[in-house]
Amino acid sequence: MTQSSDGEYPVFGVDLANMLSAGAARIERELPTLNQLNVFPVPDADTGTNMLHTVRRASRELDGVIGSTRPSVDRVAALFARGAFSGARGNSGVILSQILNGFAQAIDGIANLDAGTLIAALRRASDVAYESVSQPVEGTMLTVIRDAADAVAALPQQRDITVYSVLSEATRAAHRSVERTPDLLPVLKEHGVVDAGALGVALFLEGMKNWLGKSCGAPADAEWVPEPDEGAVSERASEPASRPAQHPEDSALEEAPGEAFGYCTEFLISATTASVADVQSVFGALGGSLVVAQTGQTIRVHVHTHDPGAALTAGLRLGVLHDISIRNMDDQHNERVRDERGDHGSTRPAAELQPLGVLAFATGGGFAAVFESLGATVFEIAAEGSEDLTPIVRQAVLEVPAHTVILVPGSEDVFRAAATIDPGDRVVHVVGALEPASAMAAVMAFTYGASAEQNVARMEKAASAVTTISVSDGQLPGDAVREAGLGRHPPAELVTLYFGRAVEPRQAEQAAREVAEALGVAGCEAIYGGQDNCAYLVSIE
Amino acid sequence: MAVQVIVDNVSDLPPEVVAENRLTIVPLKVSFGEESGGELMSPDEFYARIVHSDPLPTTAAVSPEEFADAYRRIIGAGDEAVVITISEKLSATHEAAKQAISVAGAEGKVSVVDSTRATIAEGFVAVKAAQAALRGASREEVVAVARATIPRVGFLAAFDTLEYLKRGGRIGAAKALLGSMLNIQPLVTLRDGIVAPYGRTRSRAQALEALAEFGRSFRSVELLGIEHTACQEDADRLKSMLAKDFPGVPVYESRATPVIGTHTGPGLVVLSLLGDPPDLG
Repeated sequence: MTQSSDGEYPVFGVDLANMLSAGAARIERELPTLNQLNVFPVPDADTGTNMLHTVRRASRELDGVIGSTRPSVDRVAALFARGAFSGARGNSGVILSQILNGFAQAIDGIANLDAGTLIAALRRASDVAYESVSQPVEGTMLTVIRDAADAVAALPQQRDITVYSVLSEATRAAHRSVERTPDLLPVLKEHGVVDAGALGVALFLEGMKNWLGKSCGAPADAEWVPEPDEGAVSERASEPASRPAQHPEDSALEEAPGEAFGYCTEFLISATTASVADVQSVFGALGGSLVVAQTGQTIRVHVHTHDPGAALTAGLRLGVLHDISIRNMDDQHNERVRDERGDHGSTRPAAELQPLGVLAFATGGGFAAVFESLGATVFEIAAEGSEDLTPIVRQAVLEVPAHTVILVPGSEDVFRAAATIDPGDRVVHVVGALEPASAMAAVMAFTYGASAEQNVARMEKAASAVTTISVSDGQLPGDAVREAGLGRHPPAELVTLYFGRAVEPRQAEQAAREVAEALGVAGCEAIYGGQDNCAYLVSIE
Repeated sequence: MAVQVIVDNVSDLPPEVVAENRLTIVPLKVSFGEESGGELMSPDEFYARIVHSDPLPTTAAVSPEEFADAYRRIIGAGDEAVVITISEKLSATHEAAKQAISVAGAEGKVSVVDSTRATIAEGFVAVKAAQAALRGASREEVVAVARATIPRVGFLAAFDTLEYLKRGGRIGAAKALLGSMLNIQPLVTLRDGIVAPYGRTRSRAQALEALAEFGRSFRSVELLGIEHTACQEDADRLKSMLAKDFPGVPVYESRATPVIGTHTGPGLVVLSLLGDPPDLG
């Protein structure tokens, strides 16, 4: 990125892609806090998880464009919004997808992002999000995106205004707005928390801003950190002093609208001619927390209702239904209460659990996508190992829909964290695959229908059969393989080259040919790994 | 009065095994659009055609009328029949075999057994039933032998692609193997009569090794079956890989019927085993 004379850093499509991914990563880092803060609209402790699911699915859409071409910002935004729409989960996920949808609409037709466009795009993001909710509630993520849009609209229109300065102002305004959410939404004040979805939006903006700041050399700002109180929400049960009047279970139950929370019901209606307003009027009568989002002829409906059957019937009258999800929020809520009391309950009803599942950790979007395509539950984590991964690893284990989890760490940090977690009611086996290529071989070796022990043995064997060579930016991959002294003994059976985020696919294809030649094998498959720490990882089996 | 065993052509048994065991074969059919008789084509002609063919061929179950004809013939000769069919979850053939009993007025003289398998794995069930029949077992005893054989039969298939299985609507739980971003060779099994995922490998060599490994996991083996659709060399490699592990064990070798090929494509290698399978834990 080069600085132009007027101080503006042009933001290309690839920059925006990185910014959006950084926004997603920021949400991921505060996942436990976001989940613990969740008291509205239903205290089911899944706001962070739902938002993360949504942005992670959105990030995956970008894997194909990063590195392959020079994507325009409008293409990146459209892909990200589309991914968020298909992956949207929960109230917060659907609203977030509409924020992203509005953002993408506003920059349609634009190649590189500038400050003025960003200001307009935040406004559109706010408008579209509000339109999707039939009864907007203030003190939530809606308020935060509107406050951010208002703040940047009020910036003095000087020539030196930059995308970075707009994002900085948006982030500041968003965090201020988050602080005010308890004043606007009484249930938050009663629990002494800020709104989880609202904080998620502010963190997303912050993640985007920080990436841009780093890449244009701006002085680093302090990041938002949970206040001691926020970080300790789950410990309140054991610290009655901080909440003298109420046991968390009692207080949460008091917030129940009527007797019970009912069912969180979500689905897509395809090929429909109905408008958002039509759909809102149909489902408004059936329940609360209604969010209706539209992309083309597809409409996503999210509603909390006591009669999911009636909601599905109403949906069927409008078109064909897809991705139907019905979750009993009373169960989710009760599990949260159990968790808060220290019973390490699972995050899913036992009936949904498979006997055996694979959990893989990835340090690049490409690896994450490949693991997922192999049927594993995937958690993406940052490559640099500064943070404590224990809570993330535990959360990841509980997200796997299986009683017994085979954990494929893919890094030493995760491997260490995995040894210290309390997995609750899950049985966890850890495979000694400590880098991405051997993790890939391990996941590939998973055999359906075999026992956990048999699988762990097979996966360990597959992982240990992999030799990995990391090729740094300046090195020629063919040379690196030769220098590693592997020679041709023992003969390589299968060679794979995982290329990093900074490498063009065409370069990677060429590199794969050089590696195959250096090792004397017939072929070498080039796969997008998306890692940041090296140009290529060569896996030799 | 003797018992005769009927099995469908999806059992893929070599002609000499069919003759030796006095099996009656009834055919599932393959049609290219209006044009029928695909099951009778030579494998080379058939696979050359499906790779380039549009529309793709379709398969049809054995009709109740064909079963009824076979029952009448057998009953007319004073015998009874036991029918072994492809998994009832993969084809309407099993249902047709049962319906045909009343069509032919053969109540009390014909029994139908769902092999829950296809290919030579199904064929093994028919062979064991036929061997019991040839030794003079009653219809009930033949049925009992067939049922007892089913859990002793192993099946594992290496595919080049699951595209044909998907298009033919037979993919079942093996859809878990779809969508890989790596080039993979899917390994597929049959579980409770439907197609189920077993695992994945990255190369043909690894896939054949996985088939051999599956074979070696059996505690003992009485019969082996190796068949393929249009990859003779791979089948030959598998056979030589297993030769040293199972010296003296008879190997049934065959080309899979076009009925199978319609749903698998040309790159299929199947290992079937009759023996003492491993505990799957």
